Amino acid sequence: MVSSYMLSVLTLICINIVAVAGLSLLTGFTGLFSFGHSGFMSIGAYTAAILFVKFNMPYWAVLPLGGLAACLVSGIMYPTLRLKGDYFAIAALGFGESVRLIMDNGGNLTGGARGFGGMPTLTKWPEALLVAAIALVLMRNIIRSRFGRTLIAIREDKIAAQSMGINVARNQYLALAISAFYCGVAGAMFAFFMTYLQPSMFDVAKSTELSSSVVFGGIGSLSGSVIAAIVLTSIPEIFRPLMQWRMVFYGLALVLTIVVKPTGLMGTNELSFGFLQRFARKVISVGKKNSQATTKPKGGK
Amino acid sequence: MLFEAQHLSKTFGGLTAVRDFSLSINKGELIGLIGPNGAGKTTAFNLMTGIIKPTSGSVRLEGRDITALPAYEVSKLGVARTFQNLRLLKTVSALQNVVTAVQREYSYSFVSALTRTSRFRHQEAAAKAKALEYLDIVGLGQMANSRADSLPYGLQRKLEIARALALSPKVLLLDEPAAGMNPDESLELMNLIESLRKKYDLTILLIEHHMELVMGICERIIVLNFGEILAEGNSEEIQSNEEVIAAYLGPDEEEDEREAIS
Repeated sequence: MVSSYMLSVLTLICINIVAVAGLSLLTGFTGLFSFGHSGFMSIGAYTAAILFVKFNMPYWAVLPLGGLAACLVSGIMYPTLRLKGDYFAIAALGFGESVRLIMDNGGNLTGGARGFGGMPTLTKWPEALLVAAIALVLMRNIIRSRFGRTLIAIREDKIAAQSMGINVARNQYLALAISAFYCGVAGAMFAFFMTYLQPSMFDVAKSTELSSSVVFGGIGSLSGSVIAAIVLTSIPEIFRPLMQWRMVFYGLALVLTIVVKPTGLMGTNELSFGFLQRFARKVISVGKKNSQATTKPKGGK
Repeated sequence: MLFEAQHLSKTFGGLTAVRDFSLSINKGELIGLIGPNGAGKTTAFNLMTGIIKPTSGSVRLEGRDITALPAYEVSKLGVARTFQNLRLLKTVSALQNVVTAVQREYSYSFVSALTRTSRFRHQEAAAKAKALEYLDIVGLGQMANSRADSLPYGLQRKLEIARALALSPKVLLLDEPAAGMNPDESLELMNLIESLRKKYDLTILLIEHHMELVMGICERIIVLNFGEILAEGNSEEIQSNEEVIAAYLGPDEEEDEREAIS
């Protein structure tokens, strides 16, 4: 009934959810845009693949190690956090491209442009679903703690944050390191989904895809990011019969959101029971208004 | 001496915003800082809270030199402030604004946040309760869950005060807390500041343009003009000081001539 193709799309969705959830912390909650997070995915993917193939480490060990590697490398981005707004995004773009070029020229270690293979398909949908679920629960816990509130304060107003005793640089780095960890894990999952890695898989386009998912879902909404990852991963698959035209629908979805709901699908709301209740009430009240509007003229007569 | 500024000067390019600004505050004092627009009052606040660094001079808290410390360290040591142009966390609730300030007293680890341990839950509940307490004190208890930027302007100002209070400051710097308020509201604010001061044994430095408010509650008033201290004294001394009157109303012709000659 459910084809293996659909299950592989589900797996890909889960991988993207992990990466987008990570970037959501940095972009949505801390207010730092990045166009280089595919670089962290790349580091996670190659680290996991190399540790598995060359050092025979088990799958469940190389996933967190991939994340850890990305997390450690994110340290070299620390000085760039002094840059404000767009400049940080540009520095991140440079970082992502550097990683791609390093992997391209990694010789026998990374296989260079020829790619790196030899991994079995170990990231299937149950594994992907499990990792994504754990990642989301942990991320939600971070956001709903003093750490998350600190990051939101930085996003809202850096000077106000400082005057509340918040070390802006340190907390921005914390957000960057966590987002790098998430992207690293996602990359590691990806390595065992594709079973073959090439540096060009983690280019600017991939970074942009991650960033646009965060914006599409709503800056500052974790559930928005999840929905965005689901929708934006599915659209190109649903429209696959249309060949390259499918990307038009991808772009259309983005542009429509910008026009119709500039704050993203969810705004800063989270998908919760309370939110659904309020949403339902709103829909009902709009419906009532419409029915009143249609019945009023009759009553007047 | 609880808090001192010694010979603070700040130049931006060729403009001297503050020149040789000195001030000392004893514990429990309430001091007003007044002066015409552009006199350098807010710059003096920024210098004293570490948001900008002085060109020369120093700031001391309880005898310790805090001039070179970053703003967040100054805040941690006990200098809290509000902002003239309101710097609330706009898109989050009033409660979260205050919780963000209050939470530094609660130091559960990152791991206990990840796993939501009982220590995490207890401290979170305590932080929230404490924040609600501060909101109640300034009269915002009913609005705890409203988005900060949806509150009326006067309440936003009170929310800033609640947030500064939540840092349990040794010195509280209020930058025009009554700006944009009508006379009734500013009178109410005056009473609020008085009661807060008694309740928390606060030491306050206050910038304000509402003279009634300043004259009504400040024990000592410092007048700043063109970046320099023009006069210092109690409300009667300030009100009768000719230089102060000249600064606010413009000098009369005689003085103009005198200045031209000198």
